[in-house]
Amino acid sequence: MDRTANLSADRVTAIATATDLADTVRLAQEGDEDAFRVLYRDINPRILRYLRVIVGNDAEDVASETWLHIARGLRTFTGDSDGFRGWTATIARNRATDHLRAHRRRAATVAMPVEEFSELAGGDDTAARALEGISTDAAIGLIARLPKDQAEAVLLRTVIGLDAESAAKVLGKRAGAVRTAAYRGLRKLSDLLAE
Amino acid sequence: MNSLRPGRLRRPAAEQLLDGVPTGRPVGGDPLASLLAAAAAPPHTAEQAGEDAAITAFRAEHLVPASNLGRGQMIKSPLAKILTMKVGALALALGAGGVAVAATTGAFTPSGHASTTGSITTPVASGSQASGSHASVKASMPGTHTGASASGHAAVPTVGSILSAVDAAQVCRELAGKVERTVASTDGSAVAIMTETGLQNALDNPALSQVVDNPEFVSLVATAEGRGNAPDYCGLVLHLAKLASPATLGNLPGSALSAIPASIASQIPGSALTGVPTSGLSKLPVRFLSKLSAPALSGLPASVLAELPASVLKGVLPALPAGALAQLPAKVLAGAMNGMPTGTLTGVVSRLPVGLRTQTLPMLPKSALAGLPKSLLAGLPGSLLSSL
Repeated sequence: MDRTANLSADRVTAIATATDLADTVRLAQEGDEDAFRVLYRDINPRILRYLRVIVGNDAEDVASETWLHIARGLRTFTGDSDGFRGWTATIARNRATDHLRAHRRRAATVAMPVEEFSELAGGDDTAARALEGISTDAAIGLIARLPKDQAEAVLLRTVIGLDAESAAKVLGKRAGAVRTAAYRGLRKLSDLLAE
Repeated sequence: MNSLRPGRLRRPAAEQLLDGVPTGRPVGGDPLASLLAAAAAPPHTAEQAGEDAAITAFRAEHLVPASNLGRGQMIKSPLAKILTMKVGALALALGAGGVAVAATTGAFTPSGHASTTGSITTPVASGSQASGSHASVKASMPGTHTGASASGHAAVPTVGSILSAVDAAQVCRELAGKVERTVASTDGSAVAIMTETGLQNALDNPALSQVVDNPEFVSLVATAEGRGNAPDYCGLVLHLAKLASPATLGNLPGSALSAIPASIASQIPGSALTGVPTSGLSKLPVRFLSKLSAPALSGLPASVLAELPASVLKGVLPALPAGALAQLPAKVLAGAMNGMPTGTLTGVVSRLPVGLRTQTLPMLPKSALAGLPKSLLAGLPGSLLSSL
C-alpha cells in the first residue's frame, strides 16, 4: 500500500516536471488521477487567490465547488494551457457569482468602492509590509481594495496568468477594456503603496 | 523609496508588470513589482487543502476504479480465499458469472450515476473502493442488493459490444476464474484464482481456448479483436507481470490499447513487455505507450522510445541506462532534454557518449547549456562556447 502511494507520488512529480499543462490536461481527460492532482496543485492556488478577492473568506468553499464543476466538465474541455487556465477561471467566476447571489451581504462588501477604504490605507500595516517583502495574503488583501473590475483584471493577468485577450473572455468584456482596467488597477495599487 | 509616485506609472511599464514578474527575479525595491510577485508567489501548503476532495470528485466523474483495485483483490488469507470462492460460486449461481461481483463494486455502473452521487464532500462508490477492496467486503455485498436479477441485469454485457478497459478487467478475472475451475475439476488442483500468479497461469492455460468461447466472453473477444488476443489483452488490463503470449502482443487492436486509461496503463510492469519482440512493440500506439510508467518505458528499445512525444520521453531519459541513451537520435534527445531542470539535465548529458553529446548540445537553448558543468561542454565548437 505504501509502495503504491510512493509510486503515485513519484508519478505526480514526474508529470508535474516533465509534462506541460496541455498534456497534463489530456492525461487527466483520459482518467489519469495523478495528472488531475498536478492540475489541482497548479490551478487551485491561483483560483483561491482570485476568489479571495471576489468572495472573501468563502473562497475555499467556492473553490471546492469550482473543482466539482471542473471534474464534471473536464472531458468537454478543448484547448491549450492558456485556454485551460481561462476555462477554470471562468468556472470559478461563475461559481463566485452564484455564491454572491445567494449571499447578498458579501456582494455588498466586495462592491464597496476603493474610496471607502481610503482612511484604512494610510499608514496601514498592509501597506507598510508591502515595502519589505510582503506575504501573499497581504498582497491579495491590497488588491482586494481595488474596484472589482480592476482587481479582477489585475488578478487574471498576474495570478491566473492570462493575456489580455483570454482575461477578456473570462470577464465577458473587450480586451481593450480589460487592459485599461488592469492599468488603472496598477496605478491605484501604487497609490495605495505610496501612502 | 517613492520611485513610483501616484500617476507616474506608464502604460508600457504596466503591461510589462501584467505580463508577469518572473519568480526569483530581483524586483529591486519596486514596491508594485514586489506586490505583484507576492500575489503570484509559489503555492502555500494551505492552498492545497482541498486536494483530496477534488480527487474524490474526479474519481466520481471519471469512474476509474481505485488504481490498486486489482492488487486489493489478491488473496491474502485463507479466509479471504474462501470468501472469494464463495462470491465466484454465488455469481455462477446467478447465471451472470463473476460480473455480478463487478456490479456490486460499481465498476459496471453507467457513468450517469456519477452526477447523482458525485459530491465533493460525499464519499462515492469509486472513492470508497480506494480505501478497502478486501475480498470479505465483496463477499458481503451481493446480499445488499435487492435481488439477484438486479445485479445480474446491470452487469451482463451487450453481446459483442466493446468493453472499456475497466469493465474488461472484471471480465478477464471471470475468464481466469472459469479456466481455473475447469482445470481444477479435472486434475483436482487447488483453486487460487485471484492471486496475480493464479491469473497469469489461468490466462496461459490451454483450457482457455475453450472457455473463452463461452457466450459471456463474447464482448471481451470483440474488444481484443480475436479470441487469441484475449489473454494478452487481459494481461495488460490486469497489469500482470507476465503476458501469456508476448510474441503476439502486436496483434492487439490499437484502439483497444489506446483506450486503456492511464490509471491502469501506468501500473503495467516493465516485465510484462520484456518478452515482446521489437516488431510487436513498434506496433503499440503512442497513446498507449505514453501512459506507461517511466520504469516500464525505460526497458523499451530506442526505436520505440524515439517515437514517444518529448514530454513523455522527458520523464524517461533520467532513468535510461547509458547504452539505451546512446541509441537515441540527437534530435529526439534534444527535444526531450529541452526544459529539463539543470540537475537532471547534467545527469543525462554526462551519460551520453561524447560524439552524441557534441551533436545534441548545440540544439539546446544556450540558457540550458550555461548551467552545465564545463567538463560536459568539452568538444563543442568554440564559437558556441564563447557565446555562453
